[in-house]
Amino acid sequence: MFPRSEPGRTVAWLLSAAIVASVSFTASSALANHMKDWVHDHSSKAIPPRPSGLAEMNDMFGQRCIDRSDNARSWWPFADPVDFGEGKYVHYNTYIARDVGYNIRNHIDAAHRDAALYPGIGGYNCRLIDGSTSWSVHSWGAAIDTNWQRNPRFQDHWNGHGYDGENYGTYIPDVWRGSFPGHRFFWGLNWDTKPDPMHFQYVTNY
Amino acid sequence: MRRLFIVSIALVAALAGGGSAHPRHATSAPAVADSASSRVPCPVAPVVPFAETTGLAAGRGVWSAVAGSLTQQIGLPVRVEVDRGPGVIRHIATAPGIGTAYVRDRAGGDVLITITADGVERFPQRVEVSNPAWSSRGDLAWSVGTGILVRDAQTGEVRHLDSPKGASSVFSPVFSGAHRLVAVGSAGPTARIPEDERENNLWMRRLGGHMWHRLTSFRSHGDRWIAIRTPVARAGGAVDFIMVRADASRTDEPVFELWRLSPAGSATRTRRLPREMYLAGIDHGSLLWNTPEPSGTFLITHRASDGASVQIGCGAVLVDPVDAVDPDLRRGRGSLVPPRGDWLGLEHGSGADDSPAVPELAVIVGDFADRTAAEGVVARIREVYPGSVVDVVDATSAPLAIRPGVFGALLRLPTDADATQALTVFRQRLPEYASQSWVVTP
Repeated sequence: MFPRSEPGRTVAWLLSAAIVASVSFTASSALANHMKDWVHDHSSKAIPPRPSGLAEMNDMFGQRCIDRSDNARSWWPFADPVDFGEGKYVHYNTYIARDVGYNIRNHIDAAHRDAALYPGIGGYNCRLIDGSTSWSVHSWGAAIDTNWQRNPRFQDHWNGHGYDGENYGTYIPDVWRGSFPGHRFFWGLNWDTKPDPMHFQYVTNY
Repeated sequence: MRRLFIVSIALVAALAGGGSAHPRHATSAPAVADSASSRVPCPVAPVVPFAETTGLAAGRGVWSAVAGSLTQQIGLPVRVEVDRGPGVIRHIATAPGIGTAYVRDRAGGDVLITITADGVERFPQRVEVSNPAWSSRGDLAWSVGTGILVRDAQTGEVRHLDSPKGASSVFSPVFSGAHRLVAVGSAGPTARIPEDERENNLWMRRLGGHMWHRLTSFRSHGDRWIAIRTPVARAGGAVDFIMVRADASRTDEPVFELWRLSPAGSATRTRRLPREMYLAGIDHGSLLWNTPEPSGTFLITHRASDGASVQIGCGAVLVDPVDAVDPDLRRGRGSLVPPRGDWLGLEHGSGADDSPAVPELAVIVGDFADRTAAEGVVARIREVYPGSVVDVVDATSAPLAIRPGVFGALLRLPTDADATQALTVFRQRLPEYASQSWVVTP
């Protein structure tokens, strides 16, 4: 990147890097302070095996549209598409209760970044896919849509502007993906030919 | 052993080449109830060369998609490789005396394939293709989501028909006459229906006309949705179809019904169906059905004269296969996914997968408008769960579990509790709270 014959530029680069590292550390520490009473739960209870395909989803989540599909819930602010100031309960399968309720929802709250959310947000939804005889993953309570008013299906990028108008970049998707070993949600933006940026699901190949 | 093998090959070849009129009666087809019960296993079908089949080009027989392959479901099933390439096969339409059409579903644009006396033709499209259907004169219609394409049998000209007014998509076209098309329109979002995918109706259009005419007036409300699936044209101009309806937020099994659209355009319910069932076509005047199995396959059945449901094969005909992954839903290259961004907080607290669980799981009973009501429930839970930690909570003490302005009774669960099991036991022991208890992480 910097030719060895230009020591002056190397020094400048090292100085810049030191400043960036310092700022990052300070910001990181500040954020870590906000979250000092909270840690991820990366136990196998919180991050259970993620199914691949319909048969495995039925094995792990149970059949679609049954009680356990929506028996876990958490409160999400700014989720209501009608009134932006209102939140709502998001329901999902008890199989992913710890991952969604504790790891993901708690992470956003502990980092004081609720304002990165934007209407609408939803989980369990017993319905067929439009025009298809296949059932939506939401019918198992195995998927959550977030910020869909700014991230509709087929949009080929993520719009990170939150309720407060700030651009949070990929903060929300990053939480769903999670740090190592990951919260293991599959992001619909990974579907190259049918991108679905609002969509996060705990199953692949379906 | 060798003799058995030779006999089998001969039988397969005869069936593949013949496509006889009533071959299913030659098999020991089991009578099965409409409800899910014991089924005949779906065997892996041997592959026969396309050149040895005659049924496809003549539109004879019952064909389905099994594990991504085109399979004849008459007598001993056989697989036929008409075309090769990436993707899976779905939505198979046969018309006696005309031919067969199906979709090769690929990642991105799909390919429509027809097999007629003139040979095999491929029609690559840049978009998703679904539900091809033949007219009695050999015209072919198919859906491209936002419209219907119709290929004239005589000229080969393809005409695009836009979606009906107010519909966000149109699909499953069928010819209810030589020049009359009926299709399903999905209403776009409105103030009454904030999401699309919630309200389907049947629409009609004459091939020489310029407008769609709505034939049915099904209306959704609240979170109720109404779907129309697998319409099938009958001789004389009637159309049979499946209506599915449910409330999206409820956990009741959706309702499945068989309906008929008369040639005059009025729809009436024929009967309520006992379970999830779709139409798979008509064979000798009798409706064929596709019924999903929990194991991830579709059965093909028809109704015998005594009313019993008789299995005649396996695989998806007009429905979307569930035994093969939709190529559009496979993990892509991730080219659209941006690199990770703000990770300051995320990097903290990560650890190995064998870390102990955090004791933050609970069952909440709520919501109550006043604290007193919640305190009463706490007392009752303590009676049933002596020694457990049970508290009244609100949005201050449990902001992720309960909304502002209301109260709940919270029973904290052991660290290693299984959420599904814990709630099941709670509801068994305190059935009076079954409808208002949830798993939460306060």
